[in-house]
Amino acid sequence: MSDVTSADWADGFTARRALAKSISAVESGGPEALAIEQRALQQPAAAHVLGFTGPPGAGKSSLISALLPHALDHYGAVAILAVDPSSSLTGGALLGDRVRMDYRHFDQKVFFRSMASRGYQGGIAAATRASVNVLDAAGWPLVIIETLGIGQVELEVMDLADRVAVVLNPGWGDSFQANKAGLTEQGDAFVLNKADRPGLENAKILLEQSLQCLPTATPPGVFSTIATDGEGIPELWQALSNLMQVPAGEQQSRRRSVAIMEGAKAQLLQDFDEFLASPAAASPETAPSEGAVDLLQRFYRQRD
Amino acid sequence: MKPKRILMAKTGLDGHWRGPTIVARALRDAGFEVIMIGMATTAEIVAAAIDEDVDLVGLNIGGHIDVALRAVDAVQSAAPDMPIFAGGTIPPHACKQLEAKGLEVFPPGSMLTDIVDSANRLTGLSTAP
Amino acid sequence: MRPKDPQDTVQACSDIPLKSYYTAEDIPASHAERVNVAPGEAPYHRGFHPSGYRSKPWRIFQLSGFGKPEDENERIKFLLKNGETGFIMEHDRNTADHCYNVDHPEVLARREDVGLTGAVMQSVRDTAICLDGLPMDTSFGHAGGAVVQHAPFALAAYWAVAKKRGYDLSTLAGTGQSDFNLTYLGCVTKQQIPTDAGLRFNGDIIEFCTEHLPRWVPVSIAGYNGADTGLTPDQELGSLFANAVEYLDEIQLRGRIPLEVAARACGGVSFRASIKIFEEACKMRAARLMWSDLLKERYDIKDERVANLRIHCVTAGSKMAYQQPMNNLVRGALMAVSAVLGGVQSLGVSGYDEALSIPSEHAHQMSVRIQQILMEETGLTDVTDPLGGSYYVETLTAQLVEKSWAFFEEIQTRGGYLACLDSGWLHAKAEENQHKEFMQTESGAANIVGVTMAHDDSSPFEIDGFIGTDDAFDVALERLKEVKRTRHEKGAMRALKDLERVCRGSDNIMPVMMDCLEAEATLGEVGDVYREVFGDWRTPIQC
Repeated sequence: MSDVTSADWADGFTARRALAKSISAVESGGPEALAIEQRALQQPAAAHVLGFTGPPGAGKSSLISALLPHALDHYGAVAILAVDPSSSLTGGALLGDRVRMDYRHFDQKVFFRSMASRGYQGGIAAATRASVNVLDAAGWPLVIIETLGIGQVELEVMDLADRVAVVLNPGWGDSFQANKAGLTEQGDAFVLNKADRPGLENAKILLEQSLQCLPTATPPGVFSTIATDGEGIPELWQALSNLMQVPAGEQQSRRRSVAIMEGAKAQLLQDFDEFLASPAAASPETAPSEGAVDLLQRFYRQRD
Repeated sequence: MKPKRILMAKTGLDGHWRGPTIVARALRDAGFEVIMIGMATTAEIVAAAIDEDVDLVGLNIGGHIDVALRAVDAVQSAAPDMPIFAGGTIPPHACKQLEAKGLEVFPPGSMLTDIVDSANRLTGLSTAP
Repeated sequence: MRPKDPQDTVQACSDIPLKSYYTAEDIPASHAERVNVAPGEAPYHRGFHPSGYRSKPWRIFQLSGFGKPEDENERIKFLLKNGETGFIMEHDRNTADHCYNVDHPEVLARREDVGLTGAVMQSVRDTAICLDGLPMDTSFGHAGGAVVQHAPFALAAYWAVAKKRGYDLSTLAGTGQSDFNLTYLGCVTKQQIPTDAGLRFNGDIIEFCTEHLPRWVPVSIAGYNGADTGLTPDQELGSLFANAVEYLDEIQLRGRIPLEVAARACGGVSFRASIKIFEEACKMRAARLMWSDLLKERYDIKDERVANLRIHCVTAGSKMAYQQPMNNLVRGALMAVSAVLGGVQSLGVSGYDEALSIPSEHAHQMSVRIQQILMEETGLTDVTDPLGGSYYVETLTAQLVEKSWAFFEEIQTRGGYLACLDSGWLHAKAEENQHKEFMQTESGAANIVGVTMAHDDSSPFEIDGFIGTDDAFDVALERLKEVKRTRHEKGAMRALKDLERVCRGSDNIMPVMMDCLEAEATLGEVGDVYREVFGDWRTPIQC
């Protein structure tokens, strides 16, 4: 990244800050977040969304960093949302994915946002979906999502991304049950990163065997890479970009319907919370089960 | 209450990581989301501060003060409302220069509780002096 | 730190509980037989030479340098004049650690930092300026190259200058460093060759030295940065010997030189001397014992001369306080005492301004004075291993040995020292300890005078950071252009091409590195070859 002074960026900063702040607003949740997302959804969906998932230490960040120059060549601009876990004890988080990137490729054409899971269980953050829609509306042609890295059942990225790459290392079979985690059924490409580690051939065989069991005609591809020195990266990018040639209509309708559903649910919960805080929620003495039905009926009546 | 986000960057190319890690961990334990970007140039620090929309910028400084001052000026120019605090091997004359720019400075020997208090104050979580 | 009740437990830094007093019964049976050996007898915990400091004082050996090579030259001459008995070349971190020239964008972005922590030496011409008029043949020079990827360049530069001055490399004494704990644990640089490439480099350096520079210490297996990053004394010992095993196993695998020869070369190590006086002295005694046992038991080396572990010590920089810097003179002196009680061969005392900057002239002078006072006035040099036979010291030494071997074994079960660096396991251990140590200070359980208590300071001296010179970058840039303009370009390019070929193959890197230096290839050009061939180490920590 060239050593530009702030003066050079003067105009860029205003637009950039606004984008960054709208993602923060979306992270905060609440009516403003919903409004921002609904506004974003009014734009036609054009961005391609590519997810990377896999266990911690697989090298997802390094892999994304290695693929970035290829992605930039292809798409012109790339946004990356990287999710890390929040501490359930303190609510804080150490977000260390950005530091794994090669900053030489970072300029105005790259937008990197670290997101803490904030207790959300889906492997991404609650705000990741809305952030994707905001970035899409702002014109970013490719959004990469890097999941939490636990990879067990947190697979929401599969719904959100057009395509998902599962990143594993040689020796994965010993420590990580990809089949049990459901990843073999949902990954569109499988990457054996840190391919210089012992056990590559076995890992490949094991993976390919699992993938053969899938009902699809052609099983997803398996690729070997060493992200830190670029080995296997151009081939992987080629395969991923081919996979990303998704018909525009399909992605638009899927993302829209998910957004509408989630937006509606969030709104509903919010309306109910408001109702609970209001005097109309005060309940007479009844049995608990009757109390719940009674409460809901009063809520519905109040909405009419 | 949404957690506050703090950027932690090192202005020099010195790789000692003891100090920054301890501070990052203390801030995390105090409920902050800490975005560590390691050794970063002025432009990289500004880009991170903006794109990550942080509530506070933390600089670990260990070399010539002018390198750090450049980063401070750039952040203050791009985001005048964004508070900055600094720690590290900062000799007295350099502390004064940073303080003159409105920074809170934590040379070696600073207590973690003071750093956390400062973070709380600078991000608007507390108003105690 | 004072416990509230004598019944409360007090722990040594290695988490070994300390009793309020010791008797002969406390010495573990395994060690009891070894207590009565004399210095000069296996397992050498009492020292390798019976006459100790009477026949050879420790070397006064200070880290030194900043700015342009001539500034470093001046500071080294100042230290030699003031009484140091060896000299160390410090290299600018921005350039050397990363093998960047000053025109690299990462360096340009931090141009004022250039020269702050060491002199900039981008070509053999710079090294020659730095070494101008220095007694390379009669003194003991440290060529720098503390960082693993920098080591071959730094060594070759030093040796190229020596050759040019007509010195016989086969009799040249001095030392390299190429320190894994520094490079991969304590001071993780922005970019570095992976650990396996580093091991290859060090194997090459060891082999090259045993053949061409038998009096040169090829690499220094160093504990300092492990310790100053958080490893406890037992972990410092365990990891240092795990590091040594990587080198010895590598040499054994290559099968080109006898293992005893390599072991003898690897017997130059360095430790941190921290401020718990007795534990640190025990650490040095434990180290000699462990080295002797390691060579016999793991490698079946019978030559007793190989068990001579030559220890260099640097006092703990992290123990020097920012507040009330004068107090640091006391700290430096006491840490030096613990090293001397431990019988080390070489010592560097951190400057009293360590927490503020690199040492000023005065701070540097004081580091030498401290050592001279210990040497001349205190009687510490009169008797070898004066602590030998102390119930406490022998017990603690034995307990440290046991704990250190346990840590060593744990490293082995996790794949060895390199694997533990790559996985971040050692970093996690260090971090855990850092955190504990900080919490002790924060909670008031541990006190630091002048920092957590006794804040009043009536010192009349205003001590500020030393800022060296301000022309290091500009001059370095000029000299870089000059070298590229006036060297024999074809020769330099050919040497670099050869370097690339050798890096990709398995020939020893040092001969071609000598060619590169003599052909005036520059640091950044050599670094570019490394980056192309070896890629970048994936750091296990994110900071």
